[in-house]
Amino acid sequence: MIVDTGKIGRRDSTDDNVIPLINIVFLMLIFFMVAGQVSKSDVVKTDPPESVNDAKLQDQDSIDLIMTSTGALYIDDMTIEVAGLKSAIEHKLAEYSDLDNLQVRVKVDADLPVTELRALLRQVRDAGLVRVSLITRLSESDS
Amino acid sequence: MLLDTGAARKPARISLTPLIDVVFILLLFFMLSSSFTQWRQLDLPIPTAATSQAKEVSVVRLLDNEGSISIEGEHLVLTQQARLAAVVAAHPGVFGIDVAEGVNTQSLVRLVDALKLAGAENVSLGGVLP
Repeated sequence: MIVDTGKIGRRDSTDDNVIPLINIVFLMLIFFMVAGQVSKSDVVKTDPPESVNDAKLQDQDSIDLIMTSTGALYIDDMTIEVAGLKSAIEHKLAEYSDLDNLQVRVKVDADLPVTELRALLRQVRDAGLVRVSLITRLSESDS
Repeated sequence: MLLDTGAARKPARISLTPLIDVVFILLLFFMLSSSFTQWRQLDLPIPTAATSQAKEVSVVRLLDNEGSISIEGEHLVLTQQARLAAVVAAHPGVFGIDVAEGVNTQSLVRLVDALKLAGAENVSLGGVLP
C-alpha cells in the first residue's frame, strides 16, 4: 500500500493553505473600501433622530452645529454657550462670500427637548440665517 | 573562470505572509473607520416676516413623546394613519406644528414624517421656531 505523505510535489504547503484565507480577506477588504464611507468623526457622539425623509446632504457651504442631549453646543468643533451662538455665527459669516447659499446644519441628539432646539434656532434666526436643516438618520425599519 | 549566469538557480518563491499582514492591517483600518449610517437632512425653513403671512394655518399640537397629537381640535395618535390622512385631506392649508413641554426632537421629526406621509404638502414649524 502506498501512503501519500504529501511531501512529494507540495513544497510549500503552508502557502497553499492560506490562499482561501487571503481570498476571503481580500473580499472583505474590497467590500469595506467600496461600501463604507470614511469620514471625519464628530467632536462629540450624538444620536440624531430617525426619519423616513430621503433628502440627501447637500454639498455646499455650511455651518455645522452639534448639540448633545445634555444641551452642550458645538459650532464647527468648538464648544460654545447657546447665548453666544449669535455672535459666533456672525463672526463666522465673514469667511463666506455667498451668504444666499450658506446653510446651517444642526445635528442634535434625538432625546434633546424641543425647547432647547428652539433656543438654538432663535439664535440662528437672530444672526440672520434662514436656511436651517436638521440632520437625520435614514430609518432602517421602513424600506 | 566561473561565471554565475543565474540560469541554474531555482526561482525564489515569494512568501505570502507579509502580504497577508498588510492586507489584514488595511482590512482592520477600513472596518473600524468606515461608517454605514445614511445621513439625511430635514429642511427647517425659518419663517421670516415675508413668509409668515400664510394662508390658512391648521395648528397641530404634539402633546407627548408617545405621539398623541391634537389636530384642529381632534385628538389622535400618530399610529392612526387613516384618521390622520382624513384630517389632512380636509385641511388643504399649511400645518403649523406646536409642541408641548418636554417633547423631544425624535417625536417632532416623527410627527413631520407622519404628516408628510399622510399627504400634507406644507408643514411649518411656526409654533416651534421663534
